[in-house]
Amino acid sequence: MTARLSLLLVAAAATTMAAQAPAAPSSACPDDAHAKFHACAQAAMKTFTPQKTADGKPDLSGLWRRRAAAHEDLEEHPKTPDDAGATSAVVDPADGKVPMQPWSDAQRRVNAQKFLHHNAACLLSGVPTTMYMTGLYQFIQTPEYVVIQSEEAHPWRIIPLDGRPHLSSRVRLWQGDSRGRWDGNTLVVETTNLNARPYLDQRGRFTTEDATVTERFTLVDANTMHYQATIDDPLVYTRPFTIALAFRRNTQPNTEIWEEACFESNAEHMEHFRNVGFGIFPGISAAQAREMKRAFEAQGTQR
Amino acid sequence: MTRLLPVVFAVAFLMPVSTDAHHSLAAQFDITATHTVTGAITRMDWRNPHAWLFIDVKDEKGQVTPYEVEFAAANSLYRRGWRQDDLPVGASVTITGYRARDGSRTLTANEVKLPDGRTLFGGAAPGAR
Amino acid sequence: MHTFRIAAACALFVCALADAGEAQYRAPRTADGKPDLQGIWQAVNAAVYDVEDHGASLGVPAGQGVVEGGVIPYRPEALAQREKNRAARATEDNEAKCHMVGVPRIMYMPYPFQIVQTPRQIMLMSEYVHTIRNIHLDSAHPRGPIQWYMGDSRAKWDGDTLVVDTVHFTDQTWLDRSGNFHSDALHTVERITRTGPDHLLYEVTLEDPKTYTRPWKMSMPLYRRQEKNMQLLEYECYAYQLDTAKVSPSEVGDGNGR
Repeated sequence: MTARLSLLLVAAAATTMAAQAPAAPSSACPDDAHAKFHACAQAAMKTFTPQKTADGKPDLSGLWRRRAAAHEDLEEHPKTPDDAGATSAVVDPADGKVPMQPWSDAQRRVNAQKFLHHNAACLLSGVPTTMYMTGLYQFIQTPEYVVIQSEEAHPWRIIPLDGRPHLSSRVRLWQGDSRGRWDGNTLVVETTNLNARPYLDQRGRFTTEDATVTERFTLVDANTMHYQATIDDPLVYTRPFTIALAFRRNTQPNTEIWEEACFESNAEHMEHFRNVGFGIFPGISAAQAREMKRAFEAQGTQR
Repeated sequence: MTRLLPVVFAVAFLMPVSTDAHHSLAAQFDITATHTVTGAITRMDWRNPHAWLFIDVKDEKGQVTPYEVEFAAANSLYRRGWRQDDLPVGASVTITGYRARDGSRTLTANEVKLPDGRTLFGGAAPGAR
Repeated sequence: MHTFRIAAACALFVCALADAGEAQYRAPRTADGKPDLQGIWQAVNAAVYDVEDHGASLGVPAGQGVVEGGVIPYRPEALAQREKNRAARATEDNEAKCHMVGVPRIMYMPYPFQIVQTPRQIMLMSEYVHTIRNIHLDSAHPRGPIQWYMGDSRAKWDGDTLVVDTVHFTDQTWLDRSGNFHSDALHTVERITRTGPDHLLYEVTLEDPKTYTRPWKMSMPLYRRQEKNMQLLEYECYAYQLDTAKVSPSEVGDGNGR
């Protein structure tokens, strides 16, 4: 094999690898390990003055990627043939563990075994999970709305900034109902009216429809956005907990979000999942959660 | 360089198709063992999140079994300059991948090699803009 | 008689003023000086059932068609295909399968859509299966062949009209629930113009030499959803279908060794 041909093959290999993992732009907080990034970002955002929009707000617009695989497991997990692996996305509590109640920790294992992760059925990922699925994200910002779209299975989130009230609790949405406001340089988004159908990760973690999720989006430098979400669902978790991750600005020129017609393409392949016994996660309502918790704890006292 | 090359080659081309799987691979495929089949390309569905490559595998008796292979997203191929008319219909490919748990003739495309050793749709298309 | 003539003259005068007002409506501007198309809009007609004139049947309202000239100029073999489609529409229509419905049909589906507008990109999002149209301004289509359900849209301003050029379609989407269809060679040119505070004029020319003998056009008003605090909700069609689909008995245990 000539040196030139081997150089070509190495170049081809490098291109293949590069195409799968775009280079990260320069950052004040380059470490993707969630806890390290969170600590660095919280310090850096105090002194950073972001570029502003015409109406004087921090400009979050552009194409972004999240780089750590929190969707597999919010807690620290290793690389395997099935997982890319990541450090824990949980920054509060400080031990990096998702503070599940004993009944819900047992239930999530049942979930993961019996019910398909929503994304395999091209269903929406909800909040916060939409923010750490794979692929490319775009933020578009006007004085009235922040719109977030991502390429994977084409979800949109339309976040009004005008302080209107939430929908009544009778309307439940896969993406919940979000309301945004500016707190200094941070976009704060409160989401309620979730329908409890999507998982928080591939380990079967879940919320009931009574959950409230509060997100904070803050630019850390020109290429880096800090994202955190606090999940509050007292039926499922022992306390509210917070995850954080880095969004890094896209560096590839001429990039656009293109259409991923997920369900249209996947419908006939769903049978592979059904054939091995997976169902679609039906969600666990607040009423069901209360009953499951009661039954689980009664079981415990009987032993 | 000659000694170094096989390692680089293997690392590059044996990376799983979805390094960041949007859903669990293990739910659909048996990831405890890889299988290898060789067959002729009949067609490809250019879809997202997975394109699907269809091949006809011929056994020693000449019996033909169709296989479907879960490939990279069509958009990722488009972005590297590949288009549907680049598909070498009829070409023989050797595919190594995981097999579907439900026993169907379905594989993941961990490695898809043409007879000359090149990877099908590896890297950027020649002259891609 | 005298009073009648004055009344008639006044009526004509008012009519003339109204016509002049419509033609000269100047839409509010975005920060970059372009007509502001933003808001939540919806078609109010029977086009989604059948874009041509049609009578009513159970569950289907009658409609005066939106096709200029009345009928779609199909090639003969395409007309035969349209009839086959129509006969099979209960199962073969995209909407029956809960698939995205393509362009132009998303514009007259019975669900609201929202336009959010920036200088280089306009997003159009529909309540129907969270469909997104990304319309890029002043840029070129990527090289084909490519097939996307909603095609690839590139737009420019022609005075106060947004002109959207779309190619790279699949052959999977229908124009309505009656089997009217196109091939993957479809090329649409839409013209979107504000005609008043709460109205858009939507026009679309369809060109597809594999299916039609010549380009042809549809047009309709689009209406602003004026309700206070109006927002898009969700119609997650296939989620409801999946929920009712029969699932084979589980082969896995319930996680507790049973």
